[in-house]
Amino acid sequence: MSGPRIAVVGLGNLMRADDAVGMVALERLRMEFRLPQSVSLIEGGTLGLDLLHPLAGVTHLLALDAIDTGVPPGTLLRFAGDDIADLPAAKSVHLLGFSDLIGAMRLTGEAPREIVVLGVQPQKIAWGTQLSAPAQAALERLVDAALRQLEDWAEDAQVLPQLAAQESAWYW
Amino acid sequence: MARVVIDPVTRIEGHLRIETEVNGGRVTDAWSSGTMFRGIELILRGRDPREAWIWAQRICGVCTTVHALASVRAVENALGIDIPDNARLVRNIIAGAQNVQDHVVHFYHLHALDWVDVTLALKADPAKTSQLAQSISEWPKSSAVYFKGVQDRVKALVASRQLSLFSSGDWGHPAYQLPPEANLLAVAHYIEALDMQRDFIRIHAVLGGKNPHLQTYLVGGMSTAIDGNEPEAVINPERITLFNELAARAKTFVQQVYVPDVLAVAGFYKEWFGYGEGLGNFMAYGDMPAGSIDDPAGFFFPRGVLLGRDLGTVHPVDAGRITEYVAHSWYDYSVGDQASLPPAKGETNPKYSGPKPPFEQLDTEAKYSWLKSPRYDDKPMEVGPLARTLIAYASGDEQVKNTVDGVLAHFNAPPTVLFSTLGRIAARAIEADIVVQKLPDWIAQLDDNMAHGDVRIHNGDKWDPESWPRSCAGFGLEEAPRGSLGHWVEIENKKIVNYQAIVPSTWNAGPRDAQGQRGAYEAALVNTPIADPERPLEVLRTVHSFDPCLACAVHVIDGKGRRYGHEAMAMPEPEGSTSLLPAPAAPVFGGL
Repeated sequence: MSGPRIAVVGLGNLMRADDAVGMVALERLRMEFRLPQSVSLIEGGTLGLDLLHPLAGVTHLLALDAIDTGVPPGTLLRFAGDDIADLPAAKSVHLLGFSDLIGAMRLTGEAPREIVVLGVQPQKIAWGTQLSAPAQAALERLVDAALRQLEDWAEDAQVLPQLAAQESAWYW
Repeated sequence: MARVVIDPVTRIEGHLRIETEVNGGRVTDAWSSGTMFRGIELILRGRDPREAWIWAQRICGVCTTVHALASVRAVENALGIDIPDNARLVRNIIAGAQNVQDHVVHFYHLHALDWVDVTLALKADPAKTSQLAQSISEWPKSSAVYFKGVQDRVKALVASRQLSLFSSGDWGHPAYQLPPEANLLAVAHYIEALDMQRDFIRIHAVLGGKNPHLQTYLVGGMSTAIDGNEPEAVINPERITLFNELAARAKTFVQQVYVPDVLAVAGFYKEWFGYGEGLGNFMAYGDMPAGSIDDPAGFFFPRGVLLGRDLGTVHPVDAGRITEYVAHSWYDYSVGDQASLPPAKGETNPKYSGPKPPFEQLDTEAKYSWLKSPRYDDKPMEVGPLARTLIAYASGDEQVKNTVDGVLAHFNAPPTVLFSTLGRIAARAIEADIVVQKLPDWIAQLDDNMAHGDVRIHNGDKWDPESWPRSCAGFGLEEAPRGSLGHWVEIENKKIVNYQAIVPSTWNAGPRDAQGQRGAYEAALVNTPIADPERPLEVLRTVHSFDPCLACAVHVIDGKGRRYGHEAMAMPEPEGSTSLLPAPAAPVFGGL
């Protein structure tokens, strides 16, 4: 009905070290950049199918997550189009993961036109609230890649760095 | 003899491991193990009892909200607080919505694939599927074109290699008995139920501020503003209209889709009325008060205990007879591990003594689960929708009796068939039907109170801790979708000194007690036929019929690889881990 709706969803468990890298990147986007109104930022956490409702009507979906494909920790990974089928299946401690969510959206006929998953290979996902050094180093690249993706999608994205002082609000 | 292990049992929340002994194509014994530890009780010590519910409801993200309710009830009981009528109604509406949504999600998304072969749905004739659909229900989405469209979407999903939701099925297993058209019908409704559940649960988002994990509970009532003349109030005439619309849509779905599907699927699996019986003891604390929580006579879900399959006598429930054993659980009791403790004096002293993961087999002679073994009057009990339905039936509840008798007449069967795997599935559908019809009553009462200027929703008389006794204790009982839930709290000097939760899946999935009496899952699995020990689909059918929720029963992961239908004795090496979870030498405790 209306124009494109872009959503960025951060995925992962904030208590499982590098598993949280997508959530941390999402928070960076929220705190440090002024994104256009048409872009919504959604904390997906470990919600799985509960995300069906907030994602209904989204035309462009960018997911940020930790993805284990066995490459060196900190490697930035990008999945789009048919490649999404190659994402590792339900790796979450919850049964239904992101690929199930996308499957459910396809079945209900509500899958976004475009889905891009940006991820970082984790080093450790044991209990902890600190990113490992490789994941921390990859965070900047993940945020950059997310912004570039959003620029591609939203031509009018005026991505303005906000005051550095806002970094003090960082909860990590 | 073969030891068949399923770990993790999937399509549940949390980690459950089932070990069964199979002889001559039948399960001869079974052990149920919760493989995660829940530490919320320990986290709650030292906290303000008024905030306990916020922490307690994080026990689970699926049956979100149920622990919040049990927690505020426990603290209100300890402090002697009565809640206003509007708070009672809002709590009933939230709990009723949770019940209906949970039952729909359970049948379609967590259990249906044990009975429905998705791959066969692709072979169905859409025209015959349409005929089948129209023969069992008035539901309008029943044309051949519609079913063709569904079939095409599923085909596209399979072609995209993203089987995702459907990847854990045992496709082609000989125990699947539905004709292709029934499979397509069920798959179409699986997809429709995805939409239905997310639409319906908006009731929680409105009344709770968000879903999951509602934010509007308070000790003493609720924090949802109610005002008939205030457009900004959470509860106003416009919202009443929304609740009524959502409840009406859910009722149509339950009555025209869910219930007819359960009857149709059950018709192809009648032998499952003869498997999965289990203990024959049932308990319900009862819930959905018409007035005070201390007046069980006014409960919509009646309270009671049934013993030894006897529907003739409903015994009263005395909460003082509830105890927990740790004889086979990874805990220490200060009174010795063969003794039992009442939850009011319960202890949570974790002490893992199981094998270092990954392992082949648990030592079931010793301790083998993170779940304790709750007992009522020293007897194991099944809790849940079947227990509630049987207790309501035996108590002479007109509506339940009529609905149950209607279902039994459909199958030309006596009430004893309800003691079974299919009985649990049918009871859940019957309950959803009854609760979804009750929701408009509670909504109307709320509307009526508002129209008469009664907008009180919180009793703050004892909000100030200075008004509390120096020490007190209490408990909150509830019927969560999965069964009887209780929280016990002890307060001293305005702080929590002890907190215990006995959740439905602890009653059902718990291990043997000190006398060796099996828990409900363990008992229900005995005698289950197994066509193929490599793919023990039949075990899953009975375990899933309880709607397991192990995140609730236990929490915090001790990760292991996926071993599904693995014959431990025949295959010494575990398969590689497909999980990202670590495999610590000892369990880890989060948040301590």
